[in-house]
Amino acid sequence: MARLVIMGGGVSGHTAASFARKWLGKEHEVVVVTPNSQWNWIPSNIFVGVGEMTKEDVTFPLAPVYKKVGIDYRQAKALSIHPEGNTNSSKGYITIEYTGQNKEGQAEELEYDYLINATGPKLNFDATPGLGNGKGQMGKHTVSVCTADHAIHASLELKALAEKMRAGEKKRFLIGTGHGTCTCQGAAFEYIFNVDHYLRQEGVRDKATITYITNEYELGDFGVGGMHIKAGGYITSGKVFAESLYVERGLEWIKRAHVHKVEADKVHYETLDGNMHEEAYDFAMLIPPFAGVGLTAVAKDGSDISSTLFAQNTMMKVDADYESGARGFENWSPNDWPSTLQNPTYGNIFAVGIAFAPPHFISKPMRSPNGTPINPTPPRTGMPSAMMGKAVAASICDMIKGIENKPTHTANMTEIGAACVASTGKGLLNGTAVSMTMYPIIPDYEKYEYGRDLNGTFGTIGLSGHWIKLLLHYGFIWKAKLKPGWTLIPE
Amino acid sequence: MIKIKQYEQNDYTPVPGRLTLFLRKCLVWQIIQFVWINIKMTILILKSHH
Repeated sequence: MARLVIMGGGVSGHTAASFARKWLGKEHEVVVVTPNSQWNWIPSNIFVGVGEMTKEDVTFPLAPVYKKVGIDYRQAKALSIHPEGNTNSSKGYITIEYTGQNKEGQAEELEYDYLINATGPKLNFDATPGLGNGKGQMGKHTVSVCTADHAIHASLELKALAEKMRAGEKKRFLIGTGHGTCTCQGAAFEYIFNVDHYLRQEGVRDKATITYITNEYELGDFGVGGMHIKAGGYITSGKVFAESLYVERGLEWIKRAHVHKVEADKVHYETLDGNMHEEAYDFAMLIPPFAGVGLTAVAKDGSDISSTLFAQNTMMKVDADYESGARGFENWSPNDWPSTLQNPTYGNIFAVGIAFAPPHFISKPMRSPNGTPINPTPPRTGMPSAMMGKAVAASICDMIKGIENKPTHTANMTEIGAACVASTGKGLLNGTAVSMTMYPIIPDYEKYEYGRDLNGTFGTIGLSGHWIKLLLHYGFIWKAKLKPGWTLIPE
Repeated sequence: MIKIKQYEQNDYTPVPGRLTLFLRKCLVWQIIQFVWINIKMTILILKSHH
């Protein structure tokens, strides 16, 4: 009898748990540890953020779903990993602290045979003074769409502002990244266009100045170094299409920016040329940078071995080449990236989704003359994150069943693609979205002239994209609820 | 209407013409696009599973 413990119940962890439960016999345990009681379809949070969906539309309680399939669910946050056990036992365990189930604050040790770190990101608001409240939460000056609750708050602020605009007031909107090393530009991209769409529908768009602020070198970078697509007889950089959409909607943009301070009515930012600027706002949605959730690792003798398990960014080391970053952008290779997502020191520990430490950026690292890093960090979007969860679950199941004593499945971002749908406004007959695919996620300039397969990399804007966005919303919530046929919906 | 400002950000950027804007919300064309995009995404998914 083996126990698989999965820390995190987001898209990656939930996928891993669901498949592991399906594939393992009842004699084996699958345990999910997550501080959240609800599962959140995060891609639709932007609709909540403009009042087009409710929190109930994008979340559902985890407990009944896990109970239905026999997953042991602990509503708790993981604090530390003890991969070598302690002086009493050699079995690895994690320490957890309950956040629900009428056990709030209670600590517990949970042994495992296999462990998956799917803890996702810590929303590091405090990395930018004024963006956070100094206690690890979002500050009071800006809004966010990172969680459903944040998005509700954003929609209420937006609605209140729209009222003032209807009364004739002009307002300034600033949406983008709140730090020079943010990822998740896609969410900011979606939100700014949905805000624009919302204000047009409210009849007050002429009262708004809407500006995008980003750490990207050029629009369309999205943390993956941008992409090229075939369009109109040309092979064109995504930058051209991204800028086109901003101009079409009357949006301005500030690029190559590191927001270093947020005040109640303005942000202070540095651009890549080293100059300092300010931008005033009435409404600001700024994505925070991500970090690992702060797990520590402890050896058998009680000494701290966090640096063995975790990289400097507090995300977990896997089978990546962590020496490759120092070789420089020009020498980076697809071979730097992990395949099995297995920790190199402890073979029964894996990390998936945002929780694994990338070997380096995908986009080119940039620093201002002041030494400030201003470049996007690598995104791990829903599709590859779910694929990682499934692949690692498959590997672990094979290891538990004795089929192999090493991982049997891979999910390497140099061999998988990503399909993304970025909404530019909701509406069954008047909405639009950008539908794009890229293959592979990590560009390979030795294999492909433009870094990616041009037949597998494309982008288009239209009403059909919005329909696909809705299809993904309903389809993936159905899948996550483990309803009939859920395995037929691909990751 | 887009207000182009000479020598500024939006002066050098292509913007869609009337036909492109029409096709983005033309039901017939978008139904075709819906099918085509789903085919492309399915191919990508099949290519990506290892």
